Amino acid sequence: MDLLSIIIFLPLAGAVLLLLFPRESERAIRGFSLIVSLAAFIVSLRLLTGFQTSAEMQFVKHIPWIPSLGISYIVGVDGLSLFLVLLVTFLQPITILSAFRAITERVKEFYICMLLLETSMIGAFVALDLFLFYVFWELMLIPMYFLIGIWGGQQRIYATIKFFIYTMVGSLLMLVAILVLVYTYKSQSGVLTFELDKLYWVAMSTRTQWLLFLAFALSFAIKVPMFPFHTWLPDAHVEAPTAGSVILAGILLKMGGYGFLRFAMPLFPDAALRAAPLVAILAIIGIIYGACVAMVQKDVKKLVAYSSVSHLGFVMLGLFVLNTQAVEGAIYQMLNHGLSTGALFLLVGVIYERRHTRFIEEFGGITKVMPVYAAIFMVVTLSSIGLPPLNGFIGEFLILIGIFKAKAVYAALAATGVVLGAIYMLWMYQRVFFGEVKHAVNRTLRDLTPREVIVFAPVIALIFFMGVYPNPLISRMEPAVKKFVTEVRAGRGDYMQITRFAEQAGGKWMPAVLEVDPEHPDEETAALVEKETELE
Amino acid sequence: MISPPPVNTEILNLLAPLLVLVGAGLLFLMFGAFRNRVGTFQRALIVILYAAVLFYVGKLWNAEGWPILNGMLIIDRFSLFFTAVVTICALGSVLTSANYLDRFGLDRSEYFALLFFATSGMVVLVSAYNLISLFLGLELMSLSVYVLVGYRRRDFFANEAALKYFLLGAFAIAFFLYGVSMIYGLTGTTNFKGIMVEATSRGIARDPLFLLAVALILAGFAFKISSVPFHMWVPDVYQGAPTPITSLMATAVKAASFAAFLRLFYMCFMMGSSKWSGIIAVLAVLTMTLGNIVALVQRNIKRMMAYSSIAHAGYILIGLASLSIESTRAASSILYYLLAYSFMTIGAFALISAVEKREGTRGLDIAEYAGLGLKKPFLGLAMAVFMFSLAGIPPTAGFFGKYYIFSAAVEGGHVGLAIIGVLNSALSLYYYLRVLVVMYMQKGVEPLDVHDDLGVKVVLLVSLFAILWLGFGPERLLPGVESILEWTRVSVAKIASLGM
Repeated sequence: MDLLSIIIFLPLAGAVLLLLFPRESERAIRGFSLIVSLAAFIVSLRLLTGFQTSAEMQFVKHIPWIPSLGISYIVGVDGLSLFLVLLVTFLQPITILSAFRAITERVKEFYICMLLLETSMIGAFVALDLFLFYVFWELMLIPMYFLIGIWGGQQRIYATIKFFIYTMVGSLLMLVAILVLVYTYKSQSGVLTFELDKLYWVAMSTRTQWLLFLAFALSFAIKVPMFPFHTWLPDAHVEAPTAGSVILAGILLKMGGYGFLRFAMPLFPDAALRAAPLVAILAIIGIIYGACVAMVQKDVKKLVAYSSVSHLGFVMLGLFVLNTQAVEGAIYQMLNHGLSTGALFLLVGVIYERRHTRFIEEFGGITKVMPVYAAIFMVVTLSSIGLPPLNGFIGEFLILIGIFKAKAVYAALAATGVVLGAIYMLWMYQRVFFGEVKHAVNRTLRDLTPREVIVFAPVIALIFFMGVYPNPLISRMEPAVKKFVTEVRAGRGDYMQITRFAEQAGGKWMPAVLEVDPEHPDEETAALVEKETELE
Repeated sequence: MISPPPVNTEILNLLAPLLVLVGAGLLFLMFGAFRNRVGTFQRALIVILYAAVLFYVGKLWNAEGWPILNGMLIIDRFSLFFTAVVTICALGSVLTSANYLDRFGLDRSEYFALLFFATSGMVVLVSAYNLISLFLGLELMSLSVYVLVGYRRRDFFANEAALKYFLLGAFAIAFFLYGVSMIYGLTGTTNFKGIMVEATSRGIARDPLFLLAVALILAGFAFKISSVPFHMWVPDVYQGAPTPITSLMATAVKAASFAAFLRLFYMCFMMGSSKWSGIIAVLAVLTMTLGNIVALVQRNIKRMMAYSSIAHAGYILIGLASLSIESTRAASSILYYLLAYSFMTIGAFALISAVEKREGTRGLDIAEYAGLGLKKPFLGLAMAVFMFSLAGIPPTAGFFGKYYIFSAAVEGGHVGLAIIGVLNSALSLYYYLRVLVVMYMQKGVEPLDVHDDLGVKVVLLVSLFAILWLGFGPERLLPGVESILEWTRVSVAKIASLGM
């Protein structure tokens, strides 16, 4: 078996083995799932060491699955997905470890759900066949549905159904769009295939492109979630158990951004370019609106949930201004958000386990009783608001530079989000941690246990590392990002133009090979667009 | 008839599945005369007899698909496939029946005799190559099922169900017959191929009388497959019938009717005119939308499943609307969907029958499933898979079936239908998921007693396995399904040879 398939199916195998464990042996179940997720993490490190810095897909595995329908099992990683996969395998053992004490009911089912979730998330990040991607994408919903619905809070059933139906509506329309895309390709080339590589070169009229883009974008925008499709998120987050929130915020939401990056934008570049102003405006509204709503929250968890809406607005803005810095920043910010928001949810979970409340007014002066906890919370807060030398700074900085180069107004508006972010996070921190201990119950709160310290240590280490030394990550992303930007900028042109190109290429469906100067990719693209216009 | 007259023994061979079923029906009528209760021996015998039918189906799989009995029946892969499907459905119904009949005091030999007759009717229906034999099969099936629906004869709901089903069914059959008589008047034949030739060569496809005749036949089928606007009977009948019979109606009756519908329309009526595609598309949209919307508010699980089965008929009608001469994808998607749908429905009804009680609330309220997921992990898991599959979520057979149908619709240029289809599946999520919510996320108040005997467990396990297998690896099955549709290519070639 190849490396990627091992990483995908190891957790699934673990989940199947868990079925054999007796229900009562909870310790063994916990230990076993931790070991499985750690093993997946260790195996996934091979991806990092074996990764060649280039724009190519790597670790590719191609097996025909349902040849008569053109469906295959194709997986691979490139600079866009590599770190997202690592984020999954990194966060998963941490989350599992964090749930050791929080989950006491139906332990076996819980860990089966967690492991299934891991398989489907990794699968969705590495799938290079649209059908395979869709299967993993939908599969994610099932364990999450149970995680929120069984182990969630008071309103869990409402929240989980809302989550499920919201995301499903979007993805079902995407399914139709996938089918239309595939059959358009079939009518042009005579081949029925779901292979992403080939589908990048379907010729479509601008109108078709636009409609298909909208279907894909709706599905991904709900997942991100972008304003105004975000309303499921606060409910799902507040009701989900800590582990569910961490995975939801840390990884599932990244699926939306990744979807734009891998599917919606490169498949329909002209439509993506056309939609860019709209997406940018929605993203900016999301940034400011999310921050404002976060500011007035009384519940810490809800505050963190709305802060996600704001942070992911940055990611979307970065993706759609379409230059190398901004897109790199967007990917970097996805990773940052995964770490810092994941950690914030874990931290909220810690205090909730002790006090069974998350209302800000119930706390105050926690620094005095839980110094270690307060210190870790501070680091994560600063990371979330983007203070140098922590990871958040790098991401936001890259995005803002990129946006500024494209459109200064956007950058100015988005920067207010950074300020607002600092306000709501620090204000919340102040109310929870500083001052006198207002409530007597809080005097006896226990500081972090060694297990909890182990949970947070790797996250904190990574937050510092990514803030001080981003180069190993950025340099691995760069070639893929450049390729992405060039291809999307070059656009597809409309149907007639493409057919002409195809004729020139001897009837073969080959993309025009672009000689891109790595220093100035944008100029080259502009030249290419000019050349195309001349041809017309 | 242009078919070569086969030797007599060969005909007997080809008819083996049907003969086994009819013989078994007569045998169980005889048993009834001596000893009315059904013992372990008889039950084992029923399973063996059904297995024998499956065995003969396997044996005949490579037989030449010539019309036999003077063009009355045709035993080709298409009819064999559906013979297998209805046999599996009937077997599922038998296995869930054992315990159910005991508990409800219905354990009689004639029940199984009727079941065998109903199955033989279905086999005639799916093998029909002539409107007369089609009618015979339809009636044999329907009459047996009418009786089975009212089998709990002291029960109010059962009486209501049987009466409603019988009266409405009789009307539908009358419509159907009227249409058949007009077709005969116009074409001078009741043989499918004769009609096909006449309809395409003499241009009567545009004759208003012909259109009326087809519309009447369509109405007859729409009743059997529970399509809007002929669906009114479904919830009441599904609720009143004994649960194993409901399962049979939702799966075997529906599959057999769809098979005959598909063959008749594809061969005779659709080639000449594309109007039917539009009309069926409208029916599809209405059927699935109504089924899904009304299912949302159901509290009785049998009624919910009834509306769900209406909705699924709508999805299959999308496949029928997308039929085209160029590609067999639409037709094979219908075959695949019916198989997948049968397995998930049999499984769900097996579980429902195990929870059903005789007294009080009857164990049919969805609320009574509270806590089932934890108390009976295997049943819970099975039901979860059935519900996810019915809702069309990967990696289950239900998802793949829906995908297959929608892809046929897109290929046939019906993108709008596919979009309405997926929006409907989104709608259906709510009520399927609600069952899981109750099972897994609510605590049960009353102690739940579930009668999951061996038969029920076998049905659950087999359905579970089939759904996952069909969902993960349909590659093995697809070429088989495609090969089933060889007859369509043959008939298309024949039309071409006529120079049309």
